[in-house]
Amino acid sequence: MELAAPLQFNYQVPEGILLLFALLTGIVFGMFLEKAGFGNARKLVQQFYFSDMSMFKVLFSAIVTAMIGIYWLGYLGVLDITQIYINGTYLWPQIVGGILFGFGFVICGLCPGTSCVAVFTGKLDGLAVFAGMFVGLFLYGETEPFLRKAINYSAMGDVSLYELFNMNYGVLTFIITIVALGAFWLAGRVEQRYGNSLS
Amino acid sequence: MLRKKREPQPYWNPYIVGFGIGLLIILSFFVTGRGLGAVGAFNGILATLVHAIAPEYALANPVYSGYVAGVDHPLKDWVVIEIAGVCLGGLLSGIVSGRFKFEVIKGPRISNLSRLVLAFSGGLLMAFAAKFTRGCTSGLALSGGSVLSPGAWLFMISVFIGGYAIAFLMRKAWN
Amino acid sequence: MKTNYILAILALVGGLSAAFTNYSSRNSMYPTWKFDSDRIEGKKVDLISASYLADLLYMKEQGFVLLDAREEVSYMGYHIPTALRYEKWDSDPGEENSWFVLYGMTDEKVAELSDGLPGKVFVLKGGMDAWYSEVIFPDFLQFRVRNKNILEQIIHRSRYFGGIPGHTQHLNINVRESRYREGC
Repeated sequence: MELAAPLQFNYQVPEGILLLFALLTGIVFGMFLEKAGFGNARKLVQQFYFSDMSMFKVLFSAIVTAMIGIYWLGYLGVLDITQIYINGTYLWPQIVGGILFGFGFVICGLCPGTSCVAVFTGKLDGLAVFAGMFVGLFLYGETEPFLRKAINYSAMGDVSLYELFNMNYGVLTFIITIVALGAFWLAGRVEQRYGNSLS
Repeated sequence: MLRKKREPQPYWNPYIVGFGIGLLIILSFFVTGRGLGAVGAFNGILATLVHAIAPEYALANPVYSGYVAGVDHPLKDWVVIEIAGVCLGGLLSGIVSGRFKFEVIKGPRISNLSRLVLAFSGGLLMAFAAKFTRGCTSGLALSGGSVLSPGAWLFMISVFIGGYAIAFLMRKAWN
Repeated sequence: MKTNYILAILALVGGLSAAFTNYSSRNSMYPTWKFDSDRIEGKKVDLISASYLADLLYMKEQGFVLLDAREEVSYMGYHIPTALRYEKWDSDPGEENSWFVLYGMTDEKVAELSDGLPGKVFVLKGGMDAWYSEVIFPDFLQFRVRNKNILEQIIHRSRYFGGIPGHTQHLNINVRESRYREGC
């Protein structure tokens, strides 16, 4: 029997199974985040003081792993890459929003995912971040009509990086891998120089 | 009656954690065709709350209506359940690793209150920005980055730029 | 530290070999999905692809009822083979557990009608337009197909339903359009 993935679009997967999978995925994800120490805002933020590059390491090793895995599963035909969700590109909202997100990130020390881990390991600052996020979303809900134009500005649809640069998917995968490996080496050196990572 | 307090275990090698999360993302794409997410869950929970208090408003406001319109259980949503899992996973791991502790994480030079105020403000700014970027680090950077979405990579670069830019101003809070 | 080197080597091998292979860009690939679910006019609807529907009919799958929700005139002009008119549908008490595929010219109006049926309903995504552009007149200027076998199957199936493969029908069915809520 030929297996076709994503399973959700090629087989009739009961909703209960999907939600169970969501739960299990979340549990493992939360566990990983906690094991990396990202429930601790101060450790996370050290990334931006060059003393603990864990955030960068985790983020990019995850991306490189997943990128290579998805590439090969797609190549082997196991995963149908025409069916997977590719986040839409909104040039300016994502650049400006990203910078603002970076500000917020260093101000509070947690990102939405890790704030859950923080709250559920007893960190009270995580609760404050929770509260702030809900208020922020609510504010957005109230002001949305005025922001609609800005938020949809320079929408580019769900293009891929290799389409944009008109290059080979495989070659781009390779380039990103090499760059990431180099960056990891550099991160190690930076940590040696400036680091006294909170372990 | 004394409960045995576990000693805090050392953190895991970040590359191993990253590798594990990467495998998780691959699995998620394999089963559901999409990766992880976080902000969507918060928005969904907020939408449920708003809907409970003022149903007509929730249905009229496009920020909430997508979550509550035409569904019997808005919380029965993939991202919401996933975030519940993240909380549970963090809890379990925290207990097992001896890192569960009621405390306020902050730098030594500011007070608890200042830290909490900053945490609240930062959270507010992050969530607001996340609506512009259509995602946060888990959903956009991790999952979008793996499928080479330009927006995801731009977002990641911008986050690092923004973070490093403001780190100097925030140094008193953390170090 | 040794694990770091192992991971790095894995990444290097995985990434390096990727540089020597390639596969077609995704954008204009022939839709290969079968089932999906989406929100149409705020309502959660289950969808089926035209391509999969064609496969089911080709294989003479008996377990479902195909209903056409358009006006009589359109139905008389052309309808998907074995489709019955929605208005004329009268459930036979003996038939249980069959599922339905419903189609119209557009997805929105059809989604509302799905409540009136006693069983699981799948809406044909893209309606008649998708049937034309994916099955009857698959436009190979617009859709690219990964391998030759699939291409031949599509051509064969198109002829089976009386179509003309390669005929240009300019219709853009973006399979990935807002399948999920924006953002995460």
